[in-house]
Amino acid sequence: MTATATNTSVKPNRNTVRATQRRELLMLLGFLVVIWAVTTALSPRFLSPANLKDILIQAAPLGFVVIGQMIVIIVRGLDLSVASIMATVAVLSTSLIDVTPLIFAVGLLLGAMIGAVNGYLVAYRHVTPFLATLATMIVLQGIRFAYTGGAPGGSLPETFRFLATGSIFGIPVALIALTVTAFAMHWLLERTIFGRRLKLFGDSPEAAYMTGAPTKLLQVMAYVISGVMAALAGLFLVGYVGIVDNWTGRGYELDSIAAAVIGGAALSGGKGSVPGVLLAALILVSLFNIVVILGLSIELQLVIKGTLIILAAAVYMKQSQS
Amino acid sequence: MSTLVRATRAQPVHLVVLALIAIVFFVGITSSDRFATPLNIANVQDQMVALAIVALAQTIVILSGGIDLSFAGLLSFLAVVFAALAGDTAGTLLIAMAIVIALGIGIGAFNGAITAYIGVHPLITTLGTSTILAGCALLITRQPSGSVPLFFEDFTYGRLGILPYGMIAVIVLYLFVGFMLWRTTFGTRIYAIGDNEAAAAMSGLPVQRTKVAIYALSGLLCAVAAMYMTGRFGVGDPRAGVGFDLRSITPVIVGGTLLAGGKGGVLGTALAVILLALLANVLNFMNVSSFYQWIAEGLIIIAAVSFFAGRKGKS
Amino acid sequence: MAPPFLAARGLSKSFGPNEVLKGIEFEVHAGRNVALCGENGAGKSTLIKLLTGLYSPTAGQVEFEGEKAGWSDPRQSLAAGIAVVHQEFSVLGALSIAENIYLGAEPRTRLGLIDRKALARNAQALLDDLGITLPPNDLVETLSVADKQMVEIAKALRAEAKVLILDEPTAVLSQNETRHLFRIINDLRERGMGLVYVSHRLDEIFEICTDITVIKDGVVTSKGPTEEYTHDSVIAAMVGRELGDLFPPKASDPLAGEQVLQVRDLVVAPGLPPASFSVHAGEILGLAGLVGSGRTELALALFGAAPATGDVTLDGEPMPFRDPVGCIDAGMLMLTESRKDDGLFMNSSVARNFAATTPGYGVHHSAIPPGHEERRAAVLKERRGVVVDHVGLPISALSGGNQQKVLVARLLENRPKLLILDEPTRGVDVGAKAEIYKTLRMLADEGMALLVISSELIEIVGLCDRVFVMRDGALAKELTGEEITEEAIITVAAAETSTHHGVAA
Repeated sequence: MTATATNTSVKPNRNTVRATQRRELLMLLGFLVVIWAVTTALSPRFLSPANLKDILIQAAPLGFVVIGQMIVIIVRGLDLSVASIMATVAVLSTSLIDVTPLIFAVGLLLGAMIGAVNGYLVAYRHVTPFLATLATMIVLQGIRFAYTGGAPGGSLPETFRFLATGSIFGIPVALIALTVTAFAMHWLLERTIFGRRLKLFGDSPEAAYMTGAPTKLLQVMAYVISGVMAALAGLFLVGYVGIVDNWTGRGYELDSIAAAVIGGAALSGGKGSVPGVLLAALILVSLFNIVVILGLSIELQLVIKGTLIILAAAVYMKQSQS
Repeated sequence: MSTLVRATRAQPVHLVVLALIAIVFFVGITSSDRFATPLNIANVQDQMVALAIVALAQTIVILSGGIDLSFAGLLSFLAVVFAALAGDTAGTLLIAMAIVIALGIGIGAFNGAITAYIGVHPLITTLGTSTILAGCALLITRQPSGSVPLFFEDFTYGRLGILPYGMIAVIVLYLFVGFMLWRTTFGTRIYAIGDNEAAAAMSGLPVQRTKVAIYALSGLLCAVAAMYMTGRFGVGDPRAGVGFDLRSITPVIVGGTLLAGGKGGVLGTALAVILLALLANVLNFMNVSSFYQWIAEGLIIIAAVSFFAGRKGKS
Repeated sequence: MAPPFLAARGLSKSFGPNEVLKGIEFEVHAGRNVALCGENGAGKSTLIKLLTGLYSPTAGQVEFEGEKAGWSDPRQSLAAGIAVVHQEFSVLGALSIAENIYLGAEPRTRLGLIDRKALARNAQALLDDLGITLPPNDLVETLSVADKQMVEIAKALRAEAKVLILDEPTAVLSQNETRHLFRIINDLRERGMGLVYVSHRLDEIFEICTDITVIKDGVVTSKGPTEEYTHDSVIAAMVGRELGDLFPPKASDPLAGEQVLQVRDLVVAPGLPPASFSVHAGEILGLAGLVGSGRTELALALFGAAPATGDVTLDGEPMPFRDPVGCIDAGMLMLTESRKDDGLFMNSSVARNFAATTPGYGVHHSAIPPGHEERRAAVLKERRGVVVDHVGLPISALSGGNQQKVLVARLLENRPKLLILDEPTRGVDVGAKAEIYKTLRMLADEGMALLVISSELIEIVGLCDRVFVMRDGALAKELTGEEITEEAIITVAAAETSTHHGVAA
């Protein structure tokens, strides 16, 4: 990409931070290509436009969530509440209003507010991220069920469903939304002072503080972004499924952590990239799809997912040690 | 006296938990006549046995600075395996028990090995194994299936006075682990590693081997919980463990054990398990829906952790 | 004569093409205390790692009591009787003093259980033996730094160590605590233990060491009994130059410049007397005093990183005490004491570390263009003498001295009005020190106000135009011009300091 322009002045070195990141991305891309190739050989139906489109649409909600999850992980955090945010936002905003733009506005605001609570607990109350977001997850679950009396209802407006399932020039709307978001987030992370400081904070919170980074604000903003991303994912997911459910997005907290880790984010902080985690999300969803295409037992998805998390984390670990 | 405090790792916050237990108990008595009956007291105990055992496992792991999220998958998997093998005689039951215990220890040791020798964050390792095992449980059977010998099922329902056998087992396990933490070198190593792993290694402690043993012990305790749960259900449920991963953490934290490791003990966990079980029971008597109980649980976590965070200072 | 407890015979170590140690001959006999001197990067820590089995030698061997010791793990050398007291202690806060001392060797009952009574009793006996009054059942986290070190030494004694290696043991101690440590060290030596004493402080070495071994660039340049040496001859062996040319000339009239920083009634912690002083443009003001006298706390308060009350103005503008963000914006910068903890971003590139304080500096629109950091960081190699293959490498790949150069370069980049430097040359070799002193003086000459904290008296005396000596949290005395001598500073700093807990004075 554009990075080559700078390397004219300095000779390339394969141990630079950026070269290492680029290698990790290529590794992920290579892995995706290999599984796609193998599956296509076993079942040509896999590579059909319809199936690929399916994979991409299914990957979209996870894509949103994992971007947010990664940003939280970059600041040495963890967001266990993303799935609960997805469902809560979907339940509350669709039941409050039935005008599509307003559903989105209210939903995103709600996501941001919940994220701000998480961020407040972590940054200002010094609660461990794991516990803060675990508590938020459980509280939201209670609020949501209490609000709906256990059974949410109501129909979704047509335009809302179109956003999740429809296409513009053959490209699914959800995918367009994800692409735009991904570019924006990538730009935010790699090209702005805010993004730079997020990564610096993850590398060393103390040094970031002493070099004048607004550390508390950075953490709060990371959780706010995660909340907004989860809200977007929740809305697209209910739009896609067509039914609002109290358990919408169940399992996304763990899937998003899995995708973030496979995509190169480290729980020790400071590391992660948008292309990396999106590739990882695509790998996960592809593998789920492959299980279905090959007519295997659906539970194998779990076995594959678990194996992949451990393997990926072990590979990154070995790489950083060498 | 001071020896007792040091041995039990008693903390001032335990008095708070005790006071809360007393308050909840008092509220229970005033809200219903049926609360203080032997039947209900036995009931509350039955409710807490499985959680008490996995919370004990989680306490050990968290004390060492780790975390074990494998319980959801592990309990389900072991429950299914146990029910499939237990048959209907004492002989088959013993064989099934041996296999399930061996599996628990083996899977725990695997978690420990990946974490200790490769250096993968325990959260990731155990999340991975949990996912794999949840899949395996469902691959074995999608519906609850299998059985346990009737006498074993009866045993899990039996009680001595107001003490169910399960509760006696819990008490024995807590005393055993508490004693282990105080009087064995393994126990000292758990605290040492949880406090500062690098320093423990510099002092010549076998950190990696100890970690493997810690997760193996966690797996062993899970096996016990899985067998108990299967006995209670009478059947192997492939979803038996759902939720136990995160639920097991709440009592540990509320009991004053630091998530960062090195500080805390089994006394706090025991008190917190009692508090949470009593609270659920009383709220049921008061007809408070479980939806609000969730809200309460979340707020309790935040309250407990904020309390300790103030003590710990800057992140 | 009995073979030495521990010896290096022709010991060499290379990392790739880099030969760090070449044919080292070194020995520690019973009842001797050998000073290991050398600049940073001379190879002292590599030698210790080879002696304890953390590294294995490329050539030569380590001998223990005359026999070849094929240790491949520090645990083996520990078992044989080599104990190390590191700068970062290996004592555990969550365990009691007794548990720490007996960690891994707990007294057991016949059933294999820990014998708690014997544990406390034995620990008490050991502590008594060392003349340390600490209750064995107290948790280590409640102890002072000095007492933690004592626990560490007690641990070595418990392990019946024949050789005790002390790595810069007094770096964190007050004067009183140092005296107590020296008594214990001498006591251990008289009992027949062999000691290796690594320190930068020549006074200490001449006071307690029986032998001196000097390493320079991985080679032993000089060794022999202490009597044969003088301060100057040791320094000559270490660096091959006189101390005098380390420091550039001082300012002719340090108070001529305007008052850049004015501090009135600054109270850092309740109960401490308020501090009032000012720093002028063009001067280097020193803050001297013992460790724990409140120097760092005062600096952190000025920088907004610790709570305080009072009036501080920078160039006439009142300063908030909120956080470093505001202080940096107003024109203050601080170099912190602990490079690894709160200075560097260890996993980030050299270039990103350099740009950390001002990520967007030199960018005229909101987005930072790709490669911007690398282009900015080119100055590191061109003008700041940082030795690095590529500024995109993680900074953890650099030596300590080069890391410090990057940090100093980062400060220079921002041209602050006031620069606070806490131990600016810690862990930096003499050559790099001279460069840093030159740079600091140049900045002062250009009109910057500098506030320097240092534990090295030579540094304070040689560099500062004016000095405040701190004691027990208060500015005890101001020294100017000719008054600034090591003796004057010591006299004020060490006067009537309260005795420290635990350590029997």
